[in-house]
Amino acid sequence: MENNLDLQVSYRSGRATEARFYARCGKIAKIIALALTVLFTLLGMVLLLAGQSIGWLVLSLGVWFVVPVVWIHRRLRDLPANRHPSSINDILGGEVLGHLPVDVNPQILVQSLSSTSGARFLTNRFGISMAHLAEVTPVDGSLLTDVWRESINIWLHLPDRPDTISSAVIIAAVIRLNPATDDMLNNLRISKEDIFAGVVWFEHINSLAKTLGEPRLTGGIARDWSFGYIPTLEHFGSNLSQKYSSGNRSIAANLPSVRSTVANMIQLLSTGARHNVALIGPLGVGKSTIVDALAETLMDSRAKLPSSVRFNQVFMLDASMIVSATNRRGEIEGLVNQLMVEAYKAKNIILFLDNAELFFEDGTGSIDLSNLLQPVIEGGGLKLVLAMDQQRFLQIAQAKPALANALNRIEVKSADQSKTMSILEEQCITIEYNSHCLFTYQSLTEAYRLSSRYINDVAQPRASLQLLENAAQQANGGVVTPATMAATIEKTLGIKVGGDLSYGDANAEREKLLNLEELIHQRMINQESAVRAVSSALRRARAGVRNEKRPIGTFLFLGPTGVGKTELAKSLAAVYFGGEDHLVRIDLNEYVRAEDVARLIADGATDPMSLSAQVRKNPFSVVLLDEIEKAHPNVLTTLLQVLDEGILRDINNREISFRDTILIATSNAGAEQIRQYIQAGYQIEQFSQQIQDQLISSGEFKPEFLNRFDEIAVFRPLTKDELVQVIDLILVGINENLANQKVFVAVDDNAKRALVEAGYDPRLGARPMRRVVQRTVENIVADKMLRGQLVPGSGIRLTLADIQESLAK
Amino acid sequence: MDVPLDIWVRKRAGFVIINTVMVIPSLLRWWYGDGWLNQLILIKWAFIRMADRFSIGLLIRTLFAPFRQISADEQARTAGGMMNVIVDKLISRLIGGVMRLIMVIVGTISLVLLAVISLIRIILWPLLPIAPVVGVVLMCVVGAPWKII
Repeated sequence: MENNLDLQVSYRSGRATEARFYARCGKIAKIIALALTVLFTLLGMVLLLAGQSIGWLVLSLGVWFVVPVVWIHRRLRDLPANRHPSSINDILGGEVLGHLPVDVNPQILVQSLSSTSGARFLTNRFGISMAHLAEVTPVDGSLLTDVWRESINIWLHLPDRPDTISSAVIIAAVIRLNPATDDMLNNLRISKEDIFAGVVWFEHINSLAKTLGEPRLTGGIARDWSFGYIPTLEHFGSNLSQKYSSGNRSIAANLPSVRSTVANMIQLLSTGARHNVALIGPLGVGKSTIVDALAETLMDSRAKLPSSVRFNQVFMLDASMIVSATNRRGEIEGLVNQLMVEAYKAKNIILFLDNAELFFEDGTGSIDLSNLLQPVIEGGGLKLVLAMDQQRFLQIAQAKPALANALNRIEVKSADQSKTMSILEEQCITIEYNSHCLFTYQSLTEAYRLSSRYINDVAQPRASLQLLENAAQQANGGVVTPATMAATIEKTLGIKVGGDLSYGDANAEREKLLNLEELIHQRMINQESAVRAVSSALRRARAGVRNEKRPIGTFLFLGPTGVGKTELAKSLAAVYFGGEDHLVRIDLNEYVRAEDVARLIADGATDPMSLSAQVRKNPFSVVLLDEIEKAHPNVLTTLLQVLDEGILRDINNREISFRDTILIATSNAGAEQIRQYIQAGYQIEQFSQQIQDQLISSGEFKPEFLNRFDEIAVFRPLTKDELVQVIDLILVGINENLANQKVFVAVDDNAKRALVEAGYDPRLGARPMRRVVQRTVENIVADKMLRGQLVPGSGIRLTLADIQESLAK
Repeated sequence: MDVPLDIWVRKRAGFVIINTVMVIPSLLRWWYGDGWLNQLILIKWAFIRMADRFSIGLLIRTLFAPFRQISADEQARTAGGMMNVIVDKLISRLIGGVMRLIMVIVGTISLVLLAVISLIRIILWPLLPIAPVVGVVLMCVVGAPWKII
């Protein structure tokens, strides 16, 4: 199209003049003309009634002022494109033309459009500063042609293409063409594709506002005269069509996916022998919304519909209400029968059984009416719509195959990101109106990401919409950002999304990663090789090299007891996620039977300490699987899925994401061989591979299991010198506790060595050390404090004699 | 404001006047072109809405359908019962026919009135920009043939 258009803007063209007039004085001129119309008309009438012939002239002036009012309202308010456009002037929107100055270049263009609705939309929804955009936009006037060309290109690709080019399109074109905007977009965490999505959103809302403003034809006063009375149905059912009978519209009915399903339903309800539809899909996919859209469509006089369903009303039956209305089974069946007979005789009723499984199984609030409903469904005389959960449908289909075969099934699938975003973009307007808040585009994409990951009991788009509604309450009238979404998840689900490093300070995180070894060594001694392996793997992961569909890192720690395997996991939780409470620890020696798999993946409601429940609550954590060699092979097979895909399915088949965890498995297997290698003077790097080979050949681990880990770190036994350093760390901990009492304790070097001798156990490593230090140092300090020999503000240095005396007790 | 008020007002007033004069040709072009055509579209929609409000098409299609499906038990198998059904249906159709006929007549009258109003609207439309001229003519020719107040 742009090939045929003159791309020079003319300031003096007719459209430009009209647009400028409206932009600068159109609204005030309309008000003045309206006031003069009323004034002159009334005055003219009074003069005529008073017998003054000049009243005709005054009255005619009143009528004359109607002309500008109508012109401004019908033409200028929404200046249409020229029917046969020959220049860019003919297709630029009125708001754009009205703001353009005589001399224009790309920078002036951005400055001029900064107060338009399109620019305000992009500022509010994306956080784009028009002043900054203008700063980085070139002043070279010759580039303007490129801007118009790109604007036309964007405009032609809009799904809801209006007849004119809006300011949002032009600003998107400026951003697209200018590489200098990349930094700005990166800071806002958006791409040029997101900007295009924003323009689509802007134009869609404008088009929606126009559509919703159009009058609706709904059949008029005699619409239902040919149809029967339905007193029982009106009592026990809920008429979904009622709100659309008076011309109301819903936003959902405009969604392409909903429209196509409704068209499918109408075809099934009006043709063939069985006039029923079963919408099958998980909770939250929008089954009720589809039925609502069906009710709306059937009330539309202009819709092309078969006569058998035109103006049909959709009545929703509530199983629990029917069950509570009467006690005895026979009476319930009688009532349902009466409802169906009434619906059949009325000839314009479509019965909608929401949660239809409640009509096919006995239970609290449900009753099995299969014997009554099955012949009706098979007969096809009564139009029926059923909505059912996928899992429950499969159960019913297994128990009652004839019933399942009689249903015309339509599978309603969970919405993907693109569909969910379209729905969120439409629905957020209503939420914003009700909650007086504003959603940024980034918050909507974050709502989809977070709800997909953490809201497992409801499908998309409901999961995202739920999050949006809750976030609107959190925002309390302000702007809803991605951080608000994260805070909402934390508050409503009790999940610590704050551990997601993307919410933190990027510089602090970079520093943390670069100094990871140093930070870890503030808490643990030596094991250089293991610490280096883990740190490097984490750096690779955070540098973006990681596979997003696996955990951040998966490590197997091999080595004897008491050498720091657990301590390294704790250190990682503290350093990487900000606290030891981000450690989920499972002792796999408690999962030695095949049936223990069920305990591992138990629902949080029945076992809050199961692996699935703990990770669901704390998705940003270090998962420590202790003594993995003792777990039953079935347990290991279950864990393979976690190592591979970062997903664990719990007992209810819900996905639990491990993609934000660091997974560490520990094992004492091979401890003896490690000790022997170390005693023989080997370095870990020299025998690490041999240890792994031995573990595979001895059958302790399968190769496919070991291969799943990012790193296998071998821990060596600590030397006595290193154990002295361990004592220093323990003393730091003791002094932190004593800080409340304003006292401190120090231990002589030879006394530390005595503690090492007393606490060292070749089989248990450094593990007994803490107990020995507590028994000696803490006892001495407590004793001295009670005797008044250690007062606040003072310290004590323990000698070898003190320690030996304490050990002897 | 840096500019003195009187200069600012003069400048602003000048701008409004110049722009107003410049847009008058556009206004007239629209009024006698697209504006007039728009009126026809609006009138068309007024007819469609009116016809829908009175359900005229639907009423004609279902003129003798039973009114609100009122009838006796259709399952009756005895001769008397079947007779009752036939009589009930007949009465229901008769009531339906009368009701619908009344509504069709009311609707038709409304449509005729709308047609007259629309015709006047279309005829008056081109006269609105020259209303003051018409006013002068009326003042000179008709004068004030009454005096009420």
